[in-house]
Parts: sequence; C-alpha cells; structure tokens
Amino acid sequence: MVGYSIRRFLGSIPVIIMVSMLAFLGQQLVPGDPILAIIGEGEFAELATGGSEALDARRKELGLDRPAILQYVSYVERLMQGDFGRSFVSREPVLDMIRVRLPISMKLNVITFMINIGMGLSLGTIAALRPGYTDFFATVWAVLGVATPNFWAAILLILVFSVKLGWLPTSGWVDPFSDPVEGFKHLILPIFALSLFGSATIMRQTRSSLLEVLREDYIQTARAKGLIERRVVIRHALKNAMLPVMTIIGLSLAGLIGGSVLIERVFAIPGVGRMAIDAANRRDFPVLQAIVLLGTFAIVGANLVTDIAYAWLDPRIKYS
Amino acid sequence: MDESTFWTKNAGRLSRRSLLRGAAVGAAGLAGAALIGCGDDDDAAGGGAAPAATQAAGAATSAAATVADVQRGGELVYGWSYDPPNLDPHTGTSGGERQWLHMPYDKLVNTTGMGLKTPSGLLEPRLSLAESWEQLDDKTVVLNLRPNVKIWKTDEAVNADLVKWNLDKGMDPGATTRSALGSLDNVEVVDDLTVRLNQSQVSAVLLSNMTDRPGSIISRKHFEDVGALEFGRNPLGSGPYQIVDWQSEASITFEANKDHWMKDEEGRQMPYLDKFTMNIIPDTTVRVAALEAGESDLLTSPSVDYARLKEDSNLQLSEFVGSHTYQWYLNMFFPPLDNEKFRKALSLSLDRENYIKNLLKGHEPVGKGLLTPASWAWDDSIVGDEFNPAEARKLLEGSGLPESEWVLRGQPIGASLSTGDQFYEASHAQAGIKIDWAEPERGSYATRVLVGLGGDASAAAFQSTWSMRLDPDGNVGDFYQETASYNPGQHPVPFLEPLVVKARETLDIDERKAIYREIEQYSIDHVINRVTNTYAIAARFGSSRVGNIDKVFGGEGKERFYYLYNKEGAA
Amino acid sequence: MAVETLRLGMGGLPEPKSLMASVRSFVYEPKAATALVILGLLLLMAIFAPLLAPYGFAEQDVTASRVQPGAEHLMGTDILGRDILSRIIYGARISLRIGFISVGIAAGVGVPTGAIAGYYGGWWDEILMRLTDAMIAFPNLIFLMGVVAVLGPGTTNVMIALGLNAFPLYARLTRGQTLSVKQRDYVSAARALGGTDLRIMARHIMPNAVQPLIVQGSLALGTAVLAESSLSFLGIGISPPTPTWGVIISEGFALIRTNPWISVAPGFFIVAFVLSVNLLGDRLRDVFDPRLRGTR
Repeated sequence: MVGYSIRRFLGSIPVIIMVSMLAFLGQQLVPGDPILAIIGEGEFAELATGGSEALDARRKELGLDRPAILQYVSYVERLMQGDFGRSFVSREPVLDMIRVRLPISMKLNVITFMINIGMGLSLGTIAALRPGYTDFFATVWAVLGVATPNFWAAILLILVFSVKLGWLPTSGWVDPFSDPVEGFKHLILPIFALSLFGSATIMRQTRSSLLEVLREDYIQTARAKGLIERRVVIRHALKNAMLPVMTIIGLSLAGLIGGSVLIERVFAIPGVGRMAIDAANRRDFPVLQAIVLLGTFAIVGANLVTDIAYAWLDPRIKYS
Repeated sequence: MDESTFWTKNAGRLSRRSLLRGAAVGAAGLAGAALIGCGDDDDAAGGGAAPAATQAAGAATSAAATVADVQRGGELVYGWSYDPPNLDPHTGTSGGERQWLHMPYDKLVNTTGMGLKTPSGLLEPRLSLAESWEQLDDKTVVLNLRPNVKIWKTDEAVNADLVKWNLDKGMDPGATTRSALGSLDNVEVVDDLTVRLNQSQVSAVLLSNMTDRPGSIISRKHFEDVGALEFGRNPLGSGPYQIVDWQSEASITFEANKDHWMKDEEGRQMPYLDKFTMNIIPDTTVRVAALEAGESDLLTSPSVDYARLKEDSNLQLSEFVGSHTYQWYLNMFFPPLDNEKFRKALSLSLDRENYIKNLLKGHEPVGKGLLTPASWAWDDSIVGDEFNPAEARKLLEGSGLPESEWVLRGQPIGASLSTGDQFYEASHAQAGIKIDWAEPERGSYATRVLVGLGGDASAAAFQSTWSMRLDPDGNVGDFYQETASYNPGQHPVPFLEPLVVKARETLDIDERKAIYREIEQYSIDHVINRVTNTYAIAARFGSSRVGNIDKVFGGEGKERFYYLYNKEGAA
Repeated sequence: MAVETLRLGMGGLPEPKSLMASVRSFVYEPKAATALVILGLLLLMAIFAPLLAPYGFAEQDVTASRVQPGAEHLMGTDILGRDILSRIIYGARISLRIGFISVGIAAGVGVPTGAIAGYYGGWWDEILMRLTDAMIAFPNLIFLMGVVAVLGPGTTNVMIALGLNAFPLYARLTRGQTLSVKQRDYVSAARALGGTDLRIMARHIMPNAVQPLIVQGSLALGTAVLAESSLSFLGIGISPPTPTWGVIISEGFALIRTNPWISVAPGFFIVAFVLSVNLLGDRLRDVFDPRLRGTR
C-alpha cells in the first residue's frame, strides 16, 4: 500500500507539469486582450481615455509585449521559485491574493463538505432501509436539491431570510473563527444553498449502492445467520456500499476549490471561486493559471486519498 | 425640493470673493466670469434653462434643512458592483475608478458637485487644492496652492514641488492622463505654493481636465516607497478619505481625514463622517437586497428596480440626468458605413423611445448629439433624428447599396448578447438593416473597432456607452478628430476637426457654446462616427440615514462622498 | 436466490420474459409512470415546438414588455416583449438536446476509458487515470468557461464542454466497478473458457457496472441542463436569443423582484425535467436488477 501511494504520488508530477503547460497555453488560445478587458468594464462598461500609448505602457509593465515563448520561459522560471506573478488587473502578487482567498473558500467548502457527507450518508441510508414514505420524501428532497439551480435558490433564500424576515445578512464574509456569531450568521445561507446539490448527490448514490449491496449474497447470508439488521447494515452493507459513494465524495472533495464559484458570486464572498470568475472575465491569466495549478494539486491529492480509500474498502482490489 | 431654488441657494452661497478669485480664467475661468457679469444673481439667469443635475426624492428634506442638521461622525456603507483595479490616477485605465479617486486625493481643481448645466457649476475653488488661479496670458496659468496641506498622517507637504512632480508624472508618454494634459508644455515651481503651467497651445480645457485624473495629487514619498506596481492598491494622498483596509473583491474601508482643509458652504469642516465603507457585491439583485435589508446605505440603481425602489418610502433618491450616453460607435471606413445614407438609415431606425420605456428607467431624454443635457454647452434647439423606419428604408433604397449589403458585419459583443443588443437588432431590422453578431468576447469592441486603442478594424461598429467628461472638449475632442482615441476608424473629420480645435482654443464661453452647437448639429445631420440612442440618468438610492444625498454627484455625474453624512451621527 | 446468482453468472442481463415483466411493472409503478408522462410531454413539446408555440421565440413586441401571465400570454412576456411560453417550448428542444448529447459524450468517452483502465490495470490504468485526473483537475465551471472560451460559444461547443467535463466521473465510476467485478469468479471463469477481453468486458463486466452508471447518468442529465444554466447565469455559453431554459432564466434573473414569472417558469421546467429523469433512473435501475424484486 505504501509503495502504491508513493508510485501514485510520483505519477502525479507529470500531470502537474502538463496542467501548467495547458494553463499557459490557455492564455495564447483564449481570445480577448486583458488590457482592453479592463478598460471596458465598470458600471456602464464605459471607456476611460488613454490612447494606445498608455495601453502599450500597461502591456509593457505586465510583460505582455514580449513574444509568447519568452513569456512562457519567465512563467516557468517564476513558477520554479514559487512565484505566480502579478495580477494583470490589480497588479497584486497572485500568491498574496490566494493566501487571503483560499482560506475563505476552504472554510466555506469544508463545512459544506462535512454537512454534505453527514446529510447524504444518513438520508441515503434511511431511504434505503425504509422504503415507502421515508424513501419517497428523501428522494424528492434529493431530486429537488439536484434540480434547483443553486444561484437561483440562493437568491430566493436572500429574499426570504434577509429582506422579508431580516434574520440573516444578505451577503458578505465574516471569518467564523474571529467572530463566531457574525461569521456563523453569514455562513448559513451560502452553506444551505451550496449543500443542496452536494448532499443530494451523495444521498442518492448511498441509497442506490446500499440497496444493491443489501441484495448481495453475503448480506443475505448474514441475515440468515440471524445477525440483527442494524449490525448487518453497519458492519457489512454500508462498508461495501461505500465504493461508488467514495468516488462521488472524492469528486466533491476535488470540487472544494472551484465548487462554490456561483455561491461566492451571489453572496459576495471573496473566495477563490469568485476570484476565478473575475479573472476569467477580465482575462487575468496569472490568476487563472495559479488557480488551475492549485486545483490540480488539490485534486491530485484528493484522488490519491480516494484511491487509497478504495483499496481499504474493497480488499478484492489488488495493487501491485 | 424645487430644483431652481436649490440652484439659487447654492449660487448665493458662493461668496463674491471666492468667485472673483476662483473664477479667474482658463477654460472654466471664463465660464465663471460670465456669471460675474450677471452680478450675484442666480445661476438660472446666467445659464439659461433650469439645471438638470440633482433632485431629491419624496422623503428628502430641503437643502436648507439638511445643511442645518448636519451630523458628525458615524459611518455609511456603499454597496458597489466591483473592485476598482488601480487607484494610481496616472496609470489606471478603468472607467469605474474615477469616482474613487476623489477619496484619497485632493484635486488641483474641483467642481461644485452640482452638475454642468450652468457655467458656474464648473469649477469650485472652495473644493480645490489650488485655492485660486489666474490666467497670465493665453497660454500661461498660475495656480496658488492652499497652504499647510500635508499628505495624510505624514509630514510630506503638498506644495509646488509635489504638484510639479505629479503633473510631470501625468505627462509621461505611458500615462493615461497624458492626452488630457496635451496642451501642457512644462510645469514651473515659482515658490513653495505657486505653480506656473506653461502651455504650448491655448487651451480652454486644461483646468477642467484637472478635476479628473490629471489633477489628482498623490504622495511622492509613498509612491517611491511602495513602488509603481503596488501604489495602485496602496494609494495615499491628502484627500478627504484615506484607505485603511482594502480586501480585494470584498470591501474598501475609508477613514475620514480629520485634518482635511475642505469646508462646506457654511464653513464647516468636511468630511462629516468618521468612516466610509464600500462593499463589493457583484450580483445586482443581492446589491439591491442589501440596501433594502439595511446593510448598505447607498446603491447605484439598476433600471429594472428603479420604479419599485422609488416607491419605497424608506429610501431617498438622487438623480443626475445625462451622466452618459447610450450610443453606436461607427467606423466610417467600413462598408456600408462609408455610405452616409446608410448611416442615416441606421440612426432613423433606432427606436429610442421604446428603448427608454422598456429597458431603462423610463424618463431618460431621447438622445441627439454627444453632449448630454447636463453639459453647459447643451442646446435644446439641436434637432435629433426621430424613429422612422419607413423613411430609413426609403433612404436605404436610394443609397445605391443592394439589400444584401444592408448589414453590419461581425459586430462585437461583450460576454454575451444582451437584451439591449437584441433590442437594437430588432429595431434596425424594421428598416431592413441586419446585424451580424460576432462571437462574444470581452473587451472585443475596442479590439475590433477602436483603431485608436490598437483595434484591428475588423468590425464596423459597436454599441456601448460614453461617460460625460466635465468639459465638452473631453467629449467632442475624443470623437471628432482624426487621431482621437474614440474616433472608431480614425476617419478624417474635415468639417468638424477645425471646429473642435477652435472651441478648445476659444476662451469666451458663449462663443464656445455656439461652436459646440454647430459641431453637434453637423455630426447628427451627417451621422459622423456615432449615433446617440439616449441620454442616461444616473440614480443613487440612499437609506434614510444618508444626509446630503442630493450632493452625491459631481459635475460629470460621478460620485463625491465628502458631502455625505449620517443622520444618526456617531450613534 | 440461487437462481438469481446463476442468472448473474450467465451474463447479468435479465431474460426476455423478465424484461417484459419489467416493462409492465415499470409502468405500474406510480412514481415512474408520472415521470414517464412528464418526460414524454417534454419530449413531445420539444419535437412539435413550431406547432405548439403561440409566438416565435425571438419575436419582440415593444408594446408588450413584461406583460403578466394572462390570456394573451399564458406565461407572460420578458423585457423585450417576447412570449415566455413560446421561448420555453422552443427552449425544450435545445435544453433537452444539450442534456442528452452531453451525457452521451461523457458516457461515450468515460465508460470505455474507465473499463480499459480498470480491466487492464498497470500502465493503462496509470495513463488513462492520470489523464482523467488532469481533466478533473480543472474546477468545473472554470473548465467549462475555458473550453467555451477556446472553442467559442454556441450549442455544439457547450455540449462538448459539458460532456468533457463530466466524462471523468464515468471513467472513475466504471473503473471502480470494473476493478470490483473483474475479481469475481464468473469473470475468471469466462476468461478461463477463452473469452476475448472485449467480450468479457461487454458481456460480464459492463452489465454489472451499469447500475451506478445509470443512476449517475440520470443525475448527469439534470446536471448538464443545470450547468448550462449556470454558464448562462455567468453570461457565457449559449448566446441569446437562442432560448435554452438557462438563457431564459438568466435573462429574467435581474427582474426577479419585479417580474418573477420570467425566470420562475423556465425554472419550473428544469425542475420537472430533472425530477422525471431521476425518478426514471431509479426505476430503470430497479428493473435492470432483477434481484430487487422481492426485497421491497
């Protein structure tokens, strides 16, 4: 298992190199001039006067006047030193931007992730064990969760709980660790909107895998041996049903970085997801490249964990 | 509040001395001189029609009462749409940065914040870093700086040396501000508080340009400490509010400069607030909800919510008519736009009234020329094009173009085809003009159309907006000169260009106004470089806590925040 | 039970007779029947859009901007005076096509990738799964935005983007199932009897990997339709006036306070569609798997 893990880890290095190249290539492939994208923005997409000389000066400042190959060389050089460059738009060092925003997204998403797993597993298990109304309502809830666009749900939540009832803030971010009360208030609506989809996905997969496993021979055997239902479920069925569920959870673990893009936008939360959207809209390539690389690290790691969890859950899988 | 009394009051409040001193000469100087000619009468007499600048909504109290009740202390929160990228006034390129430059920086010259309708509305020494100015001759202006002004919380003096350093920086070939300082040849330090501006040509606009980016005075020491790349996010000046916390894409916290020199009409020190916060909320619906939920105090009104919010008795409203235009930008080299009849048909087939009724707030003035009703050079007698698709079709049929050529090819669009784009398309289709949209691409209109900004001229036109500049020259000069940045194809403009130059070099206000009238009418008649759809109304809604919301707009329709106070004070 | 195990061992697909029985029980099950009716109606709506829609989907009427639902316009009009019902009916065509085709692309790429990786293991596994990791490595929306930015917007490109975005899910699910199934006795038996790899994969492994894939597929249909609406919300992807349900929602979204019907109606259709494909997916799984009968 250890050997396997090390091999998997080494195997991920080419992925990261490949992604870094793709990320740079994106800058050359995607149409749109970052300098002009900035000018055309604002409340009414108005244009500030400048003249092409001023724009050329901005390009020069950002190194955009040089041939692509030279830009790539210095991009790699900088990466080697752990420098992601500066934002084309705000001209802040990208690393500083990420240092501020990543913890925000992580806090938001980790809490959501835990709620998703808790809700998804328990609802899924209950639905599988109790056919009939319980199953029906759990399924309807899950399907509504999957079927409702989350940005849409988010707005409705704001209109009801913030504007009509005045219970919760509409938007913004307060760190839950430095100000627990305000932080928690600011978290409720975004997390609710975010977990609709995630918990529903896990719930459905849990339910269907569990139903399937419950029909397997060894469960039937265990039942025949007279083991009581709960122990059957927990000891045998749930563990075996986890295999496809782990895949789904692994994937949503991967989505922790970019999963809250729309919710961060709606709730004005300054996380990485919103940074990504803004960067994409403004053609802010250094920021995008950093996000993509970051995502790659996170997901390669998440996959590693998932694969190892697979091996643990299903001893029939051999790695050697 | 009655608009004209509002104006009367404000004009009355300007002391004769300050007018004589501040109105001294230069572009706007003469504007002021025209007023002096009228004695102490109200602006309406000097400027003609009633001003269109601001009006307070239902619940707002009268101007006199608000002034008397001014509260000190407390905070106001503005729910704003996006993060201004770069607050270095000399290198920023985004139009959405301009109002924020009034926070950390003092402007060498400033406007009253009452709109441009009357000449006296132009320049206001009381709010300017230069407490007076004189025109020595046609090409020489002397600025007398305010004494004892320091960069916030430092000993760095805001003196002639610093002003010269700033203006030199602004004249750098790579600076965004260079073209606005085009007439300036060099800056001379006469003594510690006196700066002489030597121009290479006569310019009626240099001073009013200094109300915007070029007149912003930044800290040299801080700029050199943090470096050019960092300064845009770490601005420092001597202005009324300084940034103490900037969370990218989240919020900017401004702390009031308690030692600021700025005084209101009653001689009280400004700003009144302790703190001003700008929260960045990208989604429009949420931004509106934040105001309604009492989390923010100010909102730029989206057109769709305008009518509903106006009915809300908890909210106040301030409007600025003519803050910008909605318009077509046309490359006249690009067929079929080289055909005047086609251009005219394009203008005649634009259903301006329904655009206003369905897509905007509903009471915007129908567009004619480039200058909006907010400009002092606005002339009501200018005749614009009216929607007449039948007439447009007739023109097209007589244009010599086959029907297959009645097409605008590859029109660039932003992120996606907006409802506005679709409205234009359906409107022009009524005359038989087709619009062939290109694939969505951010910033594409500039790349494809605006040759002056490095565009490749691969598309004929685009529709967007144009924000008003304080002086008419800042508008016409950018469109009706061959090398102007916003003359889309940099097509020669033989009739207009000499007029634009003449207006710029004419110091008499009435003469200038007459020239602008001629420019406007000719450009409408011959559809030069652009077609105006409508004039926009900028609207700001405020919570009941906001005091002086009727003074939120500066002369060009961008916000000034130093007049605002919190009616609940520090409580 | 013994019989069922035997049947599984023989290939995993139900006999024709039980398939007929399945179809019958399928229709008699109320949830599935309802879902089938809804889906059928939506499909009919999409197919006969030009006959059903009272107006054209891009037909503007400046005198009828934001008209409330009523006799003239059953679901009201949008800001440009276009009939919402007509836009939804035409939108069904594009939204459903996007859903089905993108899931098809995802499964078409993902299932073979996962099966090959899981079945052969070793370097095949390493290479294909690393590729899959690289694909997953891009955060979803950013990936979608990137693909749409490179390929250009438009229905086809959005379908490709959505398909490529979802394929790693299928690849990983299939691989996991393949790994699990290929160790079983009947697969070893089939191999011992000289079955070719392709045959073993098709006859023995795939049928057993199919259940989670169907569940995932039913969810993914809905996810694709939703992802399209997210792209539209961000103003990228399919460009108006093409009326996908997502485009209609996003065009009406800013007016949610004043004219909510513009975005509520298409939202209702999205929910109805996703709901019915999900219920159908559930039922299909039950029917495919004969072991289920008797356990409930």
